[in-house]
Amino acid sequence: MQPLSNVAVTVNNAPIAIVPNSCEFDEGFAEYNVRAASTGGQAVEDVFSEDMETAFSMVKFSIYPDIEGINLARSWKANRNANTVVITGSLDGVSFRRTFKKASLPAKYSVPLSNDSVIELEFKSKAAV
Amino acid sequence: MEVLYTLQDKTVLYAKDGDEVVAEFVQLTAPSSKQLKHTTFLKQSFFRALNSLQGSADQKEGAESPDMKAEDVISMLYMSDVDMNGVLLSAIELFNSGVALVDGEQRFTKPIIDTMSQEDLELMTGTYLVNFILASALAKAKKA
Repeated sequence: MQPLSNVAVTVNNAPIAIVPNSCEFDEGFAEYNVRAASTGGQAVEDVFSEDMETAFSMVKFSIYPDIEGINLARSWKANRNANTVVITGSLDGVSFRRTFKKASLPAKYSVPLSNDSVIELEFKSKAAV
Repeated sequence: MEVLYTLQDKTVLYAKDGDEVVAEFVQLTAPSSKQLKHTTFLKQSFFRALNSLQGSADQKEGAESPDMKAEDVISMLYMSDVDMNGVLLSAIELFNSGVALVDGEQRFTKPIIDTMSQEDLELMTGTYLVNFILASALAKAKKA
């Protein structure tokens, strides 16, 4: 068994060179709530509900702050929620793909202009497919 | 000059306005000297294929015909001893260099090409060869 660590990231159809081991995502399932409903005696029934407010995905990765990287990050931020992020990879002949539609960079990000630094980007999007 | 190649398999996906859509066609445009490396290789491969098939009269017949179609060019290349793998890889690099636009608007980048079926890649390569790279040679054959 081997963890999937060498993935390819594409944003708006363009392959992106990311910092190795920096990619991380959330599938976008809603948070669940399970409560007990008493039906008398010792019997209980479970009441299952989903908090749809949390049913969105997150995908984050880091890029190096070269001029291309700085300009790309700026264009994605300016693009509001009209970005599409795709992560692909394969391991032992089995392929993996997740697509994050309507992705945006809601939080501010900083651009460290120094040696040995990276730009950390965190997209929020519709649930991954 | 532009040529529209209609995709046979609807497997090509690309990002548009934050969504992912299925591509219908690819708009092909003429190469410039920027694409010289790939166009010369493809043209050379075609003429090498033509030369290697000269021994066989049946196969030579119809080759370099002015009415040659994309399928004919690809079949001819496959039947010859040219490196077909190299031809298709060169075609991918050529399409990636800016001469192909998905649905006439999105540059045909490597991640998009990766979702294309092999049949479409071959036919699109043949279409490009017939219309842009071999056009002058085929026009000469028509005059002769």
